[in-house]
Amino acid sequence: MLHRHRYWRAPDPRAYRPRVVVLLMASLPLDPVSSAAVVCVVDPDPAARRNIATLLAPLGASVEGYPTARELLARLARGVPACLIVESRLPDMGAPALLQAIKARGISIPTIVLANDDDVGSAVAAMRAGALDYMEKPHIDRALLTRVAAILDDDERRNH
Amino acid sequence: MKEKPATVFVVDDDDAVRTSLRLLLKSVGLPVETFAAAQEFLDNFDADRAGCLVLDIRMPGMSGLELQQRLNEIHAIIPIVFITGHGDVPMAVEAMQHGAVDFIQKPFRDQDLIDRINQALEKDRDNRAGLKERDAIRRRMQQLTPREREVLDLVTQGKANKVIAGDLNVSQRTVEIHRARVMEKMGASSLAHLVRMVIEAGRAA
Repeated sequence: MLHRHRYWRAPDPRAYRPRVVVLLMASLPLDPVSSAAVVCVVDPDPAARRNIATLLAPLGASVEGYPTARELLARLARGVPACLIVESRLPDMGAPALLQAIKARGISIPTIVLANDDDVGSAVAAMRAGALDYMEKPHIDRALLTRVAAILDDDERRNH
Repeated sequence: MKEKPATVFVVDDDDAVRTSLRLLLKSVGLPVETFAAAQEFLDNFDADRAGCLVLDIRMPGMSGLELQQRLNEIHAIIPIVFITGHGDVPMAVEAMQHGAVDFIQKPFRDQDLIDRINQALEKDRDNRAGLKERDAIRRRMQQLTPREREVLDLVTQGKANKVIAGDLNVSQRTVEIHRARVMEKMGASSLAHLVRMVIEAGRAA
């Protein structure tokens, strides 16, 4: 059953399509990735992290949540996830700064940045810093699922 | 033949925009060429000319994003700075994913645009330097004899001289001689340097 997305602002009618997502998710021919694939979600709001975990559930990957950039960076010492989903404005640093910090460690992680606003400047800054994609939260639904599925497929092909 | 200095190419269907950008860039000493349509720019495009492209998104006929696609299809690497009065996030993200260096919304501060154009010009300089380096390495590799080429491949795979001698069915002394010639012809100061050059040469143009 689809959770109520309290976290996001009321989506405009053009973007609102969770019912369609539920139907499509039921028929999507997605193969669950081996449990080794890890997706890290960085967002200060636990409800937002839960929502994303729910959205990505059909992929069977292990979704880990972190409230701050610093905690995510500490986690990287234990290993590198296959995919990173980052809220554009974290309490301790912006997405571009986090992307730079990861790069400075000599690591490259396919990263999707999510934002609540429609700020083109933030989007461009995130892309210049190396993000793979930048999505406005009210529109993500299926788009995020498809994107992460593709990233995990690539990862599986490369590593298994 | 002296190279033309780096030029800022401006493509925008709005005459007022072309004029104001021309004046702005001239005021900071940057050579400018303007075009009223994407097709006009393409018809005159010369990949050997250094510079960058300042491109509007919404234009009648070919749009800015379409021009970007066309340039990607011919593997043009001229850095693109999009400027637009109409941008939204999905459009900006798409432009960046297809290789744009920057994407600015109007109205913008003149100095911001100049800074970003200078960054794009620097990117172009770096790209061209990289290409020149790559060409130089490839030319040196072409000077190797077939046997020296074989030795280069095996050496950069990390194989020891003794193993290479076995692979090629020659004496170890012969391998050492070939190896020394390879290092000299390639201008390599160390094995690591040689490996870096081979990787660089292998990069897609």
